[in-house]
Amino acid sequence: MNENERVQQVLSGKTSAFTYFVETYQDMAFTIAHRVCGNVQDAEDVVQESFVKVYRNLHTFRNESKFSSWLYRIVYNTAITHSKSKLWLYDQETSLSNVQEISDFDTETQIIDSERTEAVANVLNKMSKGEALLLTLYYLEDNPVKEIAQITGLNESNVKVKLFRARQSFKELYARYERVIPDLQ
Amino acid sequence: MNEKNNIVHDDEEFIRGMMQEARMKAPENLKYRIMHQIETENALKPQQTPVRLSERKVLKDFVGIFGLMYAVLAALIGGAYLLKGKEFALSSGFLWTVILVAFVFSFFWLMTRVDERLNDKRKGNHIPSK
Repeated sequence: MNENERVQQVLSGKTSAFTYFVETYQDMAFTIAHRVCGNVQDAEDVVQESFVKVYRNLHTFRNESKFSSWLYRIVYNTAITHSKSKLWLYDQETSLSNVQEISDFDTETQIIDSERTEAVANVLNKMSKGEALLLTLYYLEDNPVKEIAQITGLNESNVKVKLFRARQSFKELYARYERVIPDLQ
Repeated sequence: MNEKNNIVHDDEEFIRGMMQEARMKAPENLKYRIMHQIETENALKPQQTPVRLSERKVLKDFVGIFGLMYAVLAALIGGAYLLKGKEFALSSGFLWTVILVAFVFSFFWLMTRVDERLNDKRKGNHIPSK
């Protein structure tokens, strides 16, 4: 059964059919919300609110875009509203040009204890929320630039430029980790 | 140039590989929270939609069937008047024809109402009249 048929099922009153959408997309929705909000509690609230919005507005969904893109756009907008955060700004202490950058990565003992997963999470946390989100959408979901533009409301060329910068930031920040802890890679 | 492309490709693969580590998992109870909220809202929502839909359909059928009936009657009476004259249009024979046409359309309207009521009962969303 394809997603369109499932949408029709939900619209015809079979609420339980909506479980499929929650199960399929909750992890990515949670990842997006967490990237924007920066903490688990807010991310959970945003995901819950987003799915309820999706359910209420399911009748307005047109098959012009993928269901996932539509959902992620709602999650993205809800998260932005919820957190009121500035996506494309680096915090003062996380700026790439800041000379104290290495000491920002916790203490050396903690770094040695950290796994690669934690390292990646830390690097993403050091990036601007918007850049981290773009990398997440592009590499985790393999969303094409066009769909990322739909989700974030940016235009395609803007997405490409920001993606390019995000890659550079990621590499640069990760390289600093490697200098501190060379066996990460 | 080729070497540069390889470097870019390697970077892509590197970041892609690293980003797989960044996938987060939603908490186990989140799904239940979402479905619980949706089901609760559904249960609290007044069941007005079927009534509205049904009323709209009744009106649509009514306008459709009787609109067509009046159009047919107008054409019939106009045609009779123009072709056979006033005498024929006012004759009792012609009156019976008009009544027959009206009866056929009214019967058709009755059938659509019965059919709709049976459908509503089958779907279980029939709302009893107060």
